[in-house]
Amino acid sequence: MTKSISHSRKVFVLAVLGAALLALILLGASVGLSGYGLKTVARVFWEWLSPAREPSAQAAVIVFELRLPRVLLALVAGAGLALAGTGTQAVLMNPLVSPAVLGISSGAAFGAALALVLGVDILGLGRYLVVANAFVTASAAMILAYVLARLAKSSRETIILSGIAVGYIFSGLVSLLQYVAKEEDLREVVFWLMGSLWDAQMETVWFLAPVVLLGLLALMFLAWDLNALGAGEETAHSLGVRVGRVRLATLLLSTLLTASVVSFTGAINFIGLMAPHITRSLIGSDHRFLVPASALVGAGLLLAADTAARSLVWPVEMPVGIMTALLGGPFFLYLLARRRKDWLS
Amino acid sequence: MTLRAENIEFSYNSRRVLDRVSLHLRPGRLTGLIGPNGSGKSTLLCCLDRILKPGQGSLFLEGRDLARLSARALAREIGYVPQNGAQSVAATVAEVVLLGRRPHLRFRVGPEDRRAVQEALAALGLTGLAERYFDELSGGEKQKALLARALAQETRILLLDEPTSNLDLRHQLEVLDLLTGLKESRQLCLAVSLHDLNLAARYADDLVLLHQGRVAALGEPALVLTPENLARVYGVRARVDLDSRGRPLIRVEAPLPPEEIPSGGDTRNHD
Repeated sequence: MTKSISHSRKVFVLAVLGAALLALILLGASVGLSGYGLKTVARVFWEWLSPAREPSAQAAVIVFELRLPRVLLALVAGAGLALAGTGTQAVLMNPLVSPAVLGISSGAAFGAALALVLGVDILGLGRYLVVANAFVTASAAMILAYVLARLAKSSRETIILSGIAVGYIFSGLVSLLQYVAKEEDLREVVFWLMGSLWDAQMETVWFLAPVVLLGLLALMFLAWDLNALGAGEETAHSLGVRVGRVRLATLLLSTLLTASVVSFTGAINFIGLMAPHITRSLIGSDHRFLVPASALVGAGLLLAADTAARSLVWPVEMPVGIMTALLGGPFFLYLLARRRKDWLS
Repeated sequence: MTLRAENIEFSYNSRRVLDRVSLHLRPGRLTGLIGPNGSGKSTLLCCLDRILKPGQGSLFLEGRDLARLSARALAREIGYVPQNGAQSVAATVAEVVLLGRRPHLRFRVGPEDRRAVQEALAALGLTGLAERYFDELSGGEKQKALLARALAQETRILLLDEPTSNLDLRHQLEVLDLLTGLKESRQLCLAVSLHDLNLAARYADDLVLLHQGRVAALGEPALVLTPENLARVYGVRARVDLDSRGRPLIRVEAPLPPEEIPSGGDTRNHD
């Protein structure tokens, strides 16, 4: 007989996740070429918090201007991808779904490749060319998949299948672009496809943070509707949930989150699938807790992966997309093997 | 609170599943929906709750047009219990029942919601199972948990799709006795689709016999469950006796050969 996770334990799990994330932030900010370790970084943060004391200038500059943007970018990107995954899994009632499966990532990759190989600037944004292109094509991929499925008066399975098909089409187009690309462009495309946080800037963080916050609040607002969908479409209807609207709103939100994140970071795929699963096993499937906890777990996973990517083969740095797959994959398999409960069946 | 359906029509693509169905649910009465597989029982229940939108016809809740009610307002008046309550996400019995409060709450679960959940669990004898996972329950316990969710919703109209289909004999009677008790104590309007004609005869105050999407007969069980109707709709030869309380007792004897099935009920041949 399995006992469930009680309310107070869920609050406790949230608190522990928050604390673990703070520790990870400290750790993440302690890795870098300039050799300021954990102790120095902790002191810098402490001095920043107590304004009475004069901050030790050089360490503070390194921490706040070089390392922190990257740590913060990992946090918001991870949280955004995890929220997108949680939302799509809930409204499509399928644990195997993530924004990557639905073709959003392939869509983004095509936009980025278009910019990198052919220099096509869809929105005319110059400096943010790659980002803007990736965002436009990622959104187009999801909307295309959704509209095609709606035309067929479709069920949620059709949405998933058409998403997969659209994803393959965009992957094919990316391959085509790679095939015709010049050598130096090809390098850039391949690098983008791996996904990385190396070009982290505060500007990016300021752009992504409100989007992720919006996603978090909106999914929290929809928490009861997402819970009701877990009981099946008919039951959700009978409980007053406007299923079609909730599904469309959540898919659009997930598209916005994923497209915003990957257009800056490149294809980081695994977080959106993995974070909701890990979180469900920790805190259950009540979205009032699952949504914020998932954001914390996603943020933590990506930060941990990026910290590992920066420190494992020091001083060489690896793209974080490789790390999420190489570290996250086995970790996820381990969780699958030892869990006692099918969180989605 | 009464629910009146007038000339409901519903089609899946071009196949008509319900054809001008009218019925009236009244407080303190259990209306049984009976009919062969595919006769439209489940579709009718879904239409009554506007889970499926009828193509034609109107639904009136105490004289008000149901189509004008918001989804949330509707969910405060009408509860629905599906036939197989597949729960796609692992949830505890308490969480499943708490979902019934969705039409009443915004985000926080208030004392009123907790009270409703406790009462619903207690009414069905599930209090001890509250923290168990739904998918670990037996068929009977699951059925009761789904019923508890509908009770926690605190609606005066309750639509149940084959609530006894997965249950053994004892649990069938338990669930129907419980519904009868609730019907009387809370003056609920109940519409229950049932496969077992003898259970329908025993528990229903009114019966609606559906045949190919149309109402073939409607009224007290003794008037609906006649050998003629059973031959016409089910294609069987049956004996019907009355028990000591005047309820019909049906003994099905044999399937009728096709040429002996009266076609009078299949009004589709006539217009």
